Amino acid sequence: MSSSQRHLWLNPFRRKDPEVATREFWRNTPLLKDIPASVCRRLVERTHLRHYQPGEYLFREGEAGVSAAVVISGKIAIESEDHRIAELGPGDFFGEAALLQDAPRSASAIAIDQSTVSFLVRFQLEEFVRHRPGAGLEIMTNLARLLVARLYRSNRGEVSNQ
Amino acid sequence: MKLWLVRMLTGAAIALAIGYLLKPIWIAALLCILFYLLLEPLVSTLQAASVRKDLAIASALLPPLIGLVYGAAHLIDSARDYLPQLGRDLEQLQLGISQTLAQLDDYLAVVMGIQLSLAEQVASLELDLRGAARAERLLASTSWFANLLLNLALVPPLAWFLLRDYRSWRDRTLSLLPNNQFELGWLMYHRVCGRLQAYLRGLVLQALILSTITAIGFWIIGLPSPVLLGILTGVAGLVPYLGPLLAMIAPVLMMVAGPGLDPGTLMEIVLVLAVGFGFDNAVVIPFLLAGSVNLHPAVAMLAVVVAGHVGGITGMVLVIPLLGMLRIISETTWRGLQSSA
Repeated sequence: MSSSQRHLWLNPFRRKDPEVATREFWRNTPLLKDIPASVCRRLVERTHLRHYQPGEYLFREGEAGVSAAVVISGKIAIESEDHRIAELGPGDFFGEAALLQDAPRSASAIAIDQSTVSFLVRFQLEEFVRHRPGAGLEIMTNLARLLVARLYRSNRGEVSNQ
Repeated sequence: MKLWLVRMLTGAAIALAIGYLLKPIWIAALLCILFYLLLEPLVSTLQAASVRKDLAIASALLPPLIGLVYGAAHLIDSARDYLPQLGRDLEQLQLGISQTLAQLDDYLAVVMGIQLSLAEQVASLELDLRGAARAERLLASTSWFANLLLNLALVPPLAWFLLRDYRSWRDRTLSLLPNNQFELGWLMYHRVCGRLQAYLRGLVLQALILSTITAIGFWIIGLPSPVLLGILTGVAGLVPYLGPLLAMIAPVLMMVAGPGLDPGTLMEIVLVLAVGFGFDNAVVIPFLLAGSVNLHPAVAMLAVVVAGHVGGITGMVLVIPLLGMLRIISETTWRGLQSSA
């Protein structure tokens, strides 16, 4: 049975398997853009699902960060020096700078509602890249593109502010 | 008491309890960890070349396991051939020691006018080396050999599972950390493992290089069993600071048991060890081990002496990486506590 046929037999009223939802959210992040589904699945198997209560910190500004994250459910606030910078919802990807270096977190992340967040730890990504250098190169290129785009946006913001 | 302190103490207590339970198989555990540290990069390389994980592990594990089995079989054969003449050799060793000490007494009396009577003092200790090789003692030591063989038999399956499943065990264990310590735990794990792996890989390479140099040296100067003496020197060399002294024991005892103490041969042994340890200190340690644990020499020296008293040679070898590990854990915890305060 092909995957399209199998799709017809899926129960449309069944709640989504959290693993499937996590995989879909990760596949839609800019980090895993154009990465084959089988590779994505293997990488997402290594991520960590964690649950947060309202008001609980995911990480604090200044702490050493070692992981990027995707919000699976709930809402997360990003704050710097008590100013709310952004509110993130399901599918939003953040903290990717920690996938490259040991630098301290530039902002804090706090759960607004009961939230579930999937973390990808830098050391596990490095192991994955070592084991699959082909796919690893694609992922690291995506990460570089993402960070350059953020830098570009940030520079443009600085210019407009001036 | 603070919650983090309670958790750390609980973790330390659990680690100690596991260590105590694993005591009978510590040789197997140590060998498996060494196999893992040495073979994991090879398995990763094979996997990167699209070799299936199980096949990559089998290809990496098979050659050293064949070597281990061959070594164990050779050891058993040698022990079986050698046991009948062990008593005679020990008697000769005792006689050689007495004669050497008597010569030393004479030399000290004639040249320096000192009467130490070392030979008489040692004789008064009533050392009975042959008695040590009596049947009941040998029978007692067979349980030790059985334990050693059990440990060696456990190495292949344990090493296989460690190479295959270590990462998933690690991930599951680190997932147990509470939310606010999740990233700190990973950071600590990464720092500790990075340093520890570099140090232990360096130690193994150091032992191999030192064993090879000294085995060639002992073969050139004509000592019996140069390979065995080289291996013993390599193992002794793993003990920081006291290694060169420990390395002297086996070749000197072998010389005393054989032709007797000869100043020329003694000088040759010292020369071989000086070349081996000189190369070790000048080339191997700066390139392989320098900075991997970053401890003050005085602290390291004291720790080695205390660990030798508590845990013998194993304690002396392991105390430096353990101290380095403790240092990284405490530093990372302290920084983590400060940044989250």
